[in-house]
Amino acid sequence: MVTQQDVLKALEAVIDPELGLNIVELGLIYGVQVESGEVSVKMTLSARGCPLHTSITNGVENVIKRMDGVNGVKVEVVWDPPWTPDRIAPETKKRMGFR
Amino acid sequence: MISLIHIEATRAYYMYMQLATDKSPKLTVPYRYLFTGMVILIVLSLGIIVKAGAFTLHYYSSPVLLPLTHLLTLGWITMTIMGAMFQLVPVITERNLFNETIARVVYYIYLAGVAWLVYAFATNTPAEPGAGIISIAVILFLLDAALTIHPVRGRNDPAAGNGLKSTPVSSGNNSPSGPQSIPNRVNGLKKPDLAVSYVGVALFFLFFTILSGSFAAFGLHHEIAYNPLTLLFLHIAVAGIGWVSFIVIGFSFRLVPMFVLSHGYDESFGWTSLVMLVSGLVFLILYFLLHLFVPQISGIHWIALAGGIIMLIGIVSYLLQMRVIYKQRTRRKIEPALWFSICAMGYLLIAGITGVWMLAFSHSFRMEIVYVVTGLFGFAGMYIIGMMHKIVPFLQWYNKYSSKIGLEKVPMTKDMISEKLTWVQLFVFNAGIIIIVAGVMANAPAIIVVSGIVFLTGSILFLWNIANVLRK
Repeated sequence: MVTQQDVLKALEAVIDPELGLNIVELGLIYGVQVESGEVSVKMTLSARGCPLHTSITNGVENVIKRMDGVNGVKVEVVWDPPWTPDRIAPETKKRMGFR
Repeated sequence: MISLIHIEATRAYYMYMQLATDKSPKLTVPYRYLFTGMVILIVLSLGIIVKAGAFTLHYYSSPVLLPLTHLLTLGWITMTIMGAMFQLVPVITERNLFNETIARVVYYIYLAGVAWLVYAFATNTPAEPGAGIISIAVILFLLDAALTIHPVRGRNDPAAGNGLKSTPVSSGNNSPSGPQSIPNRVNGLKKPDLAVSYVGVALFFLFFTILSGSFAAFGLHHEIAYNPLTLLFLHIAVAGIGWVSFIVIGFSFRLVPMFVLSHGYDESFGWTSLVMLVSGLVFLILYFLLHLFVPQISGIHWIALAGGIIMLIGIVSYLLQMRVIYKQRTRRKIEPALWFSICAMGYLLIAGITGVWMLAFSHSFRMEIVYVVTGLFGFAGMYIIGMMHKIVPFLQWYNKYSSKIGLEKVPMTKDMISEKLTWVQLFVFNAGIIIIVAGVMANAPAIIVVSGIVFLTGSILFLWNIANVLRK
């Protein structure tokens, strides 16, 4: 049976090509719900009309769809709260040499 | 039981994506400009080797210096900037390019015009047809850009999110603890954008550059009522400062914060730099116009000097703004591509001080060459080389891999280009600039030949490194 942790682990395959961080580390994922094999992901993008909106949401869907025990995927993009560099996890910042 | 795992959101992912979107034109549009520019840089380096002696001659309209200068400014710098503009304007405005065919056609018209102009200067034949063709290309370029931009009245605040649209903040389940993004509307009005303001001013001066250059070119071969040399100086000032420097500064305000992940900084120094640089240039233009239309006038040198000092203050303000941006950066490591921009800022300061020195004390031809080399190649050229090492790998990545996210392992953008080769280029181009300045100051053509060889090496490495990106 798929768990939230399994989904989050799978989403780590979606990588930021510039920073070398996955979208989970970056904090793009707001939340994951799993119910009877139906997975709902609440996540954020930069803004409405974000350039990679489709690429990323498709990427998230593709990753989850390939998981065993998943019957369906729903990705919801929300816009709150906004991001600043202060919001990157301290351990990630340290590892990446970020301030 | 359904539960929700809360993880804080980030917009960092999309900062970099401001270089390409589904609104971007096909890659062949910017690439034709960018790669032609790199090839022309190689030709320019060969020109320095073959015609090194011209750098020691006091002759502004020399059949060697004129074509070389225009290969640098029109063939490489402006060609590259036009390619970048055709890529970035649709991205910034979130609109499709008004007409992609114009962008394709302008390339051929512009290239023909530059070739004609450079050939005419080199053979000392009338250059007006070349200037006319370039004017047509530039007007079409400006029209295409303007009609793409037109509906955009303002833009998002880069200080709040590096060019991203600010997300309205509302109360929600998540309570962000970090600083909030700065709304881009103040009392219902959109905040002006520093980068876009610089680009707008630069495009205006591009038009002025073409106008003054066409008159100057005409004046070199025909009897006209005005002093063609004064027109030439006016053209050089507007082209070098108003177009090239302003457009590079404008791009730097958009690109540098994006690459170093700098957020939430104050832009006061940046706005001061814009006001000062434009004001100083207006003083300089006024000085030349007075000389043109009232040739008997005297005692107005202070106008030019005041302009130079005001512009130097503008340069210092710009450097202070960049210092703020770098100090605020998230990414501690500075990549070699960004070191190009840091070196470029050093050359800009040297050019600014040299310019004021010339206006205040002496006006030697050698110092003018040093001024042009540090200002055009040192500042604009180095910036462009550095940014190309960031932009092209991303464009290629976006084109090839963005649709494969989550389906297969995709490379990082840093894997698209050799960082080692970029470091080598940084060293080589800096060496080339230092050697050519030394050669000019020492009045030694042999040293200038060496600088040409160094530039040629750097140019070939540059093309090689960028071209290899296409194979990734």
